[in-house]
Amino acid sequence: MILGQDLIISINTDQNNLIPVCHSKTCSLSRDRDMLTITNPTTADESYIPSTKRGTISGDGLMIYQDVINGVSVLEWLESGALVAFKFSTSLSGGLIYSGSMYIDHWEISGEISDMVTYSFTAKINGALKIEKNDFVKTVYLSDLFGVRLAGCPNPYPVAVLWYDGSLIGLANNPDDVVSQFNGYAPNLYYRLSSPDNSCNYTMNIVWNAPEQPNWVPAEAGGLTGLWTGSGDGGISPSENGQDLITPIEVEP
Amino acid sequence: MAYEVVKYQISFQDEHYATPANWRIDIRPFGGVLPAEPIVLTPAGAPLVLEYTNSDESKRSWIVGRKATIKYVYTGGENIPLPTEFFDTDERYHRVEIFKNDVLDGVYFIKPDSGQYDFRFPPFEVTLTAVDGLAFGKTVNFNMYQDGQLKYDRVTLYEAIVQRGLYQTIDSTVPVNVINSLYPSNIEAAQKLLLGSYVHTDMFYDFVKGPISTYDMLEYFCINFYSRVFIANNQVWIVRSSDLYQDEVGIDQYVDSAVNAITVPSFINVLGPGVGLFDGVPVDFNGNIRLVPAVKKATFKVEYKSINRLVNFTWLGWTGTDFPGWTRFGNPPIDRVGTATIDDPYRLVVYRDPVNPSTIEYLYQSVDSIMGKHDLLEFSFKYKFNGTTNLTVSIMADDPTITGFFRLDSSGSWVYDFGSDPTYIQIQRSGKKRDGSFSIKANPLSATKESSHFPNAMRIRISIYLPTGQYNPAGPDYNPLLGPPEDGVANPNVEFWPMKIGVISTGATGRDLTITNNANYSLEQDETSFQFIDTGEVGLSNTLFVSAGVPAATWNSAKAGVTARDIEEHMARANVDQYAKSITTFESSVYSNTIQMYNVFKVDTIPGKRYMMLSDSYKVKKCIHNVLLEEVLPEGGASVTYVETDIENDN
Repeated sequence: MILGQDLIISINTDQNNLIPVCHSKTCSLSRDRDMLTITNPTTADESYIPSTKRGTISGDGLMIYQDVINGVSVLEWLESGALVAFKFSTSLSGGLIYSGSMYIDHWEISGEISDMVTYSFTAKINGALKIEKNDFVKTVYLSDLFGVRLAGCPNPYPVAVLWYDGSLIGLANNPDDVVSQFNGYAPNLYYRLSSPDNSCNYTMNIVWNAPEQPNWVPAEAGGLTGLWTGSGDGGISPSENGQDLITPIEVEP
Repeated sequence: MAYEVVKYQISFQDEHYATPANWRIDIRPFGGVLPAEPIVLTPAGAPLVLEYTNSDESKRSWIVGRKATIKYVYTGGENIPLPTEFFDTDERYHRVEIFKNDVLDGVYFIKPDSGQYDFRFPPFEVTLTAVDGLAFGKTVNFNMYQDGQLKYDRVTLYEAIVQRGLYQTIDSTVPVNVINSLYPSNIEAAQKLLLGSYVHTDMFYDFVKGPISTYDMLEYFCINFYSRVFIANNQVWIVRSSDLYQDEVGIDQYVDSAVNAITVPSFINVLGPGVGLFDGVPVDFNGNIRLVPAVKKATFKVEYKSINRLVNFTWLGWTGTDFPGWTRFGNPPIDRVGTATIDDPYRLVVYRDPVNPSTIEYLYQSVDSIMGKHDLLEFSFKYKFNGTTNLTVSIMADDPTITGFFRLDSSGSWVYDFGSDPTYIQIQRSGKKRDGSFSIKANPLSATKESSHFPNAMRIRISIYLPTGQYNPAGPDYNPLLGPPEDGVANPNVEFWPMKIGVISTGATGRDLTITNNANYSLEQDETSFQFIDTGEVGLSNTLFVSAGVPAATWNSAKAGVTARDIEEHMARANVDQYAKSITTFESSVYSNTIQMYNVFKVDTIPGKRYMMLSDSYKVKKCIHNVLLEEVLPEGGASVTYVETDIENDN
């Protein structure tokens, strides 16, 4: 998934069971606010006080009658005056979510001969707009820098935990070490690991605005080779007991 | 119990972008079918507007009531009240409590005569109008009674204004905040105005018409003290306008007959361009500054009102045959009726004597040494004929040591009388209306040759004679030529309500005041009637007292350099002081959810002026006040010429 792509609208009258409108072609949410103009006789530059807020939602899609939520449902909500919960997001597993409830105030169906029937609607947001910044949650695994699962899984330990650019983070003898090394790494701003099953699989919480969403945690089977750090002769390797790293041993990446 | 249950509730948050407040409107009906939990109504787009209206646009709108306009959405849903539920009841049936951030901000009652709703399919908006307790003051009377009997005595201003006045229409738990720095110079040390000053309840009572309204009573006070009354923050405020010019505004809070000085944070509010920097922000460019003309001349008028000198005038004392304090001459058949309630007070009944109607029999009371030759006498009472058509009373003035006396005639003149051809006051009625009243203010005694014998202190005697007219058909004196007794009453009689005889010893019926601004302006203020005047006379109910019997001396103001004066002169001067020159008003939309009616205002870009609020229309949800502010000027700021003159009796 690429951040900022694929805006998904999920709607339903049951706010605990929001359903993505899969056949939707486009959707939009807009929000605006009245401004009171401050009377200031000492300047020609206007300034304002924010006042009433309001918002509208619109969307259109194909009339796919097999979908749980389809164009007819939307029309029925308009007819009954139902309060409809909505959620806008770019991921179904978390991330940035705009949610609230709305009343459908416009619905339209159109189609051409020999073409798909489409519908569109607009709605007014009822009450507040909720903005949630949720973590994405993923299951990731220990892999080499290219995403190949480490040999020896579920117990490849000890391993050398790496950062995505190949930098060495530290040596780990077990999943807990991986978690503490990875989470404590200073350049790691967005990712938090936990180890639910003590294997080489991990749960990763990814902050909502992380620029990338990785699928693995890079590592190298520990004690076997040193690691190229990208600065000439800066390679390192573990000591015999595996507790320390010793340098330098020139290796190829 | 009445108003015990919240039946309907409307909640919303205002749109203040920095410090939004939560508002709740609870509607409590007097009775009826009540739910276990409040029924929540949907607020309309503008759910609440709170208004102080001031039709005069002047500081002299003494009593400023507050109106709440409440709008909810009638959805047609179950339990949602039809608007008619609020309009088919009387004015005190639906009590409205408005809370701001869970603190009671005001109590109102829905007025069924000013609602509105749309004629269309639901949902639609229903508009309810509710007014605060002050608005009911015009229809609720000063509480003149105690245990069903007239409370005819000097009482503290607190008892009169607050307990017997305001608390008739406002919850008695509501504190009363007073801003006033005028004090009698002889008030007891450390006493506050309302608890250290006394007024006679006669001021608020008429022996013919009954008690005046609490609204009039409040206005009496406000006019004399140049003060306004309004309710803000669920507290009553009585504010003397001149005192708002002081940098330190002292506030006395009266709660439950005790008084404490309180301070109100940021009492002086500043309006200017910036939320957070100022207490209110003028918005929408709709402000204007208007000039109000200065007052050149103001005139005032007071009518003196005397305190009753009779004893047992309410017919409270009754032995079964006699009224103590009253003497029966002959053996007049009298009785007492009534149940000692406000609606059915004790009344004297004087019967026609069926046995011997020609005998002169009467009930009388003499009050010694109460009147001088130049004094005025007030006499009034209410009566009702039962089966008869006339009554006779006599008012006599004499010095018991000298032969000869004066009798009062129905025109208010005294007639010198040696006893040969007595003058009586005789009242006759025909037709169906058999109840009536008699009220007279008598001229001073004529300074005839004979009357010049009399010393200054004379005795007054009132005599109530047996009625004449229709006879008892069962009695021996029944005259068939006169027809049967009217109203089918077997024993024709006259009922007398409490009677008043008072003496005005000031030699005039009242006093005119004229105050003239020495500066060159032209506006004359309409004549103002007022009530309290420092005459030093204990027999007048116009007099304010500092204890049960000591009249107030001159009054001091906290403002440095203001001379001690009589209360009425302070009043007259305040009227010119506040309009000593052309002053400005400031009218604008102001963004705030904190400014209050009692605040003193300054406008950031108008240096040197301070304002008080005359009116406000507060759109609560939008945090917009449409205010009219008027400049306050200092006490004693005007150069004036002040003149008092007597008003002569016009009988």
